Amino acid sequence: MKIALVCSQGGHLTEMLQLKEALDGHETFYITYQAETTKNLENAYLVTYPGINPFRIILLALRIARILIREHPKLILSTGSEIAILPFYLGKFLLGSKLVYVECSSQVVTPSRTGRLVIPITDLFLVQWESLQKKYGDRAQYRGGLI
Amino acid sequence: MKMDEIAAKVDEKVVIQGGEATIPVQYAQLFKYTSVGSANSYIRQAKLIVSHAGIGTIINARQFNKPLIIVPRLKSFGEHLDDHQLEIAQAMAQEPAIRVVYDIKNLENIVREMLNFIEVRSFISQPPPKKASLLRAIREFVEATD
Repeated sequence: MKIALVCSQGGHLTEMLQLKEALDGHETFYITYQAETTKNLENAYLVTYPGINPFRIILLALRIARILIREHPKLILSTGSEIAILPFYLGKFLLGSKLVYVECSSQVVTPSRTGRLVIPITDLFLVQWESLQKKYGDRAQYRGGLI
Repeated sequence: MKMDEIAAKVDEKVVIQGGEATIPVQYAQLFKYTSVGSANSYIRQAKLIVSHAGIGTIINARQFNKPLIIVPRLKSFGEHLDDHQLEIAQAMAQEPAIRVVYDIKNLENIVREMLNFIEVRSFISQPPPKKASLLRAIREFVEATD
């Protein structure tokens, strides 16, 4: 099965690299930001952080739509952060991809903005602290954490 | 830069990933950013890690059994949009090989204390059990989708 791995550079990428073991035997590709930490990743589409510039967000949405149509992932896994939003909504509504979001372990009691935006359409929403599961409610599950 | 001042006073080599910081250093070795592989190799060689509460560093310090000092970025210093680093810093503070520094004036003393920290082995020698169960949750879902 083809799986898209979506994360920003930094801690979100570190978490993704740890979770990747769970995907052994599947074909994966990354969608991540262009950065020192991501330039040597294999099978990676490196995109530019659009900030809050609406024009750049539209360009990024078009680029991500093209990547998703070309790769056709059956599942999209993200460890955050906001880079997840476009692939999740586009993947769900263009391709019907299944969505798995793992909230970053730095969120102990406060839901992230990205988490709140994607939880309504996410098929498996995992948090890494029990205290956070209570904040999100029934759509979120606590099944363990990386730290 | 505080760690540069400390580098002048302790008998250890100090390597700093400074990111966008533009303050010159005199005693430490400074670089901006590096690849995941090379960051891991610095961490593996280090005796002690000092960092903001970035999750990548916390995970890697634990993975390589290194004592860690966390200096959370604070909203009050305009370092972050919110105080989310305080959350993780407080959650990690119970760990035996982790110290959290809220007042930078205490950093030097805590660095000295932690350099003498010998019980690192008891810190974490296996992956945390909670990791296996998180991986299992993902694997189950992936298999059900496939």
